[in-house]
Amino acid sequence: MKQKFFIHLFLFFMVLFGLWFILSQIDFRKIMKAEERIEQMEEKIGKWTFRYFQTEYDQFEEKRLDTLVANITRDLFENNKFQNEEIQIFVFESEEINAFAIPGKKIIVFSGLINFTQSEEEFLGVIAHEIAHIEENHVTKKISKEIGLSTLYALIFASYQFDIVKEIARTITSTAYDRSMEKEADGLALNYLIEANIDPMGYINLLTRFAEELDNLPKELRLLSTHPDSFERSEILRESLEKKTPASYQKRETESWQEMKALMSL
Amino acid sequence: MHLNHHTKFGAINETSAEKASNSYLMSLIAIMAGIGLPVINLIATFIFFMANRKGDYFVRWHTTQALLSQILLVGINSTGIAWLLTIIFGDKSFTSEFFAYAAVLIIVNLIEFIATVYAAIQTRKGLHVEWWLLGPFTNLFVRS
Repeated sequence: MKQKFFIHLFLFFMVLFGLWFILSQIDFRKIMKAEERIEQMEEKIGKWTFRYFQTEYDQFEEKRLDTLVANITRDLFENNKFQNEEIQIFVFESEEINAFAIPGKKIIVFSGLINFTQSEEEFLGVIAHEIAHIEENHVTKKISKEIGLSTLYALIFASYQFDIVKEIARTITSTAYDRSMEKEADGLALNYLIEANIDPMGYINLLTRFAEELDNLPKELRLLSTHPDSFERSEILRESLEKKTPASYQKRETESWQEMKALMSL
Repeated sequence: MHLNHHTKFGAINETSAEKASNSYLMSLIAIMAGIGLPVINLIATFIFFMANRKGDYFVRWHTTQALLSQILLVGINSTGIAWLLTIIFGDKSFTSEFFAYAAVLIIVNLIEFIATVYAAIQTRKGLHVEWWLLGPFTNLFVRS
């Protein structure tokens, strides 16, 4: 009787496994047009979120700024084969020390962050970190976790929903990514910077300064402190940098960077 | 699944047939109540199993078979739910393997549902129903 049961149990699981294996050969994502829908959803939410930031904050009008940002980030983009047309960077006027990626592969940088950074390397470190969030699709994951995947899918067919977009914007600007996502993005940012021959110590120092200096800032300017354990993250990066082949980096102080800093302080 | 007409249970009275049939209905209670929590079925079946553990052989046999089917189902369904949660809250994504598992899960649940309804009807008539998978296991557990 015992033997009969085990034979039946074995056969049962073999059938289940076989069925699962055969079915898993079907490309369900293609049938359900998953990629297409996710792209549609991201594009729409990206547009809406960007519209929200445009109404809530002043965007720097100077066309010159686009050129400056493109010049500053050129090495980072070219050496890592990122497409400028795909990932766009926008600067908004705000004292908040913050930069974040929004759906639709856009990065928004507040002037407060540019003023806070003390070197071009620090600024590029933040950009590399945000690009890593985009490349690893952390933005959509974070929003879907907070807002709910079903709500996001429903938005594909909806018209502009201010309340939801406001909630998405709040999620993007004021809540942290998972610890694992932050660490992953930091690790990738380090690689991007090294690949582009940009001194990663700039980014590491920036994280240390966040940890040290944000405590002295007024509460409303401390949004970046929601990024968990800046100090711990900088230490982890320092350790992983030590394990890599030592390299010497030239200090960056391009004219574009100086011009952008001057524009921000006007 | 096959009917066992040469019953090892002797004469089955009306009360036993009803209780045996109810044990299967217990495992459908959450579906009937419209609740999407499979664990409710397991709890209901377990309570019914405990309440009837001193019942006659026919009743004990069928409450055990119903309970075992729910344990198996909860195991399979929980794996699917855990997988789904790691996708929504973790760093996994929707893959063909996941959709294939979801399809298998639906098939198993459907078969179990049909088998349960069938067993509930047959046992209500006083007929013994021994499932291909769980029948031999139930025989190991329940002694006359």
